[in-house]
Amino acid sequence: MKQKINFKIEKKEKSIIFRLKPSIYPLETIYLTCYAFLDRAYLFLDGHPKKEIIVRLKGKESLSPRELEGLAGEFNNELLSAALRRKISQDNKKIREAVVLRALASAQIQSAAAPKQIIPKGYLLDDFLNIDVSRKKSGRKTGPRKNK
Amino acid sequence: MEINFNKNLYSRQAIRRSIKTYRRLADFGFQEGKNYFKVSLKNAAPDIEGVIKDEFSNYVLSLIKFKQG
Repeated sequence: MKQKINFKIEKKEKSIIFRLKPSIYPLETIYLTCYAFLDRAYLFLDGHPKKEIIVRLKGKESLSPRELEGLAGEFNNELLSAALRRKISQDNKKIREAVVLRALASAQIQSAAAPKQIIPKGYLLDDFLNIDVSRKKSGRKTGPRKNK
Repeated sequence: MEINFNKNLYSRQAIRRSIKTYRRLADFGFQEGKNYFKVSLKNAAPDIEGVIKDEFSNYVLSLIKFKQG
């Protein structure tokens, strides 16, 4: 079976030229793939976003034709990976939105249902547990204990 | 030295911001053609002359924002 290759190695320029169809790899996928290679290669885009996108990839270090071929293979793998991530992201978009919406809505309901706790004046100083009263009933003197 | 950025693939804002970042390394010129943004580069320091074009292009690419699924 004859395999169709989407890239061409330019030995003189030590670069790879990819010709990508946006119908297979959308522009966002190509951008994402390029980002992944920014630290290893110099990338330049040209072409038409609806017809054909041309990516020129040049290694930051001088690469042999064999190494260039390896880099081209890695780029193609990354393209596939980015395309898959994008598809999963699109498929799960509604679920993601629903989960966030639900979380936000439940947080809002909780905050609305919770009573406002306003601390009245002198609240902390008052004997709200009636500790002093129970001491009085038991006949014990209030106030600090004296050390014997 | 001139770099032609395809208008369909590169944004004006990304190029402008990149020029602002790189302005100390060379003299930049910016022109808008029909299909391309044309960036001219002059008087780059000799030690970076060989890489500034490619580094600049990579930097522009890194600044492009796009809508993700």
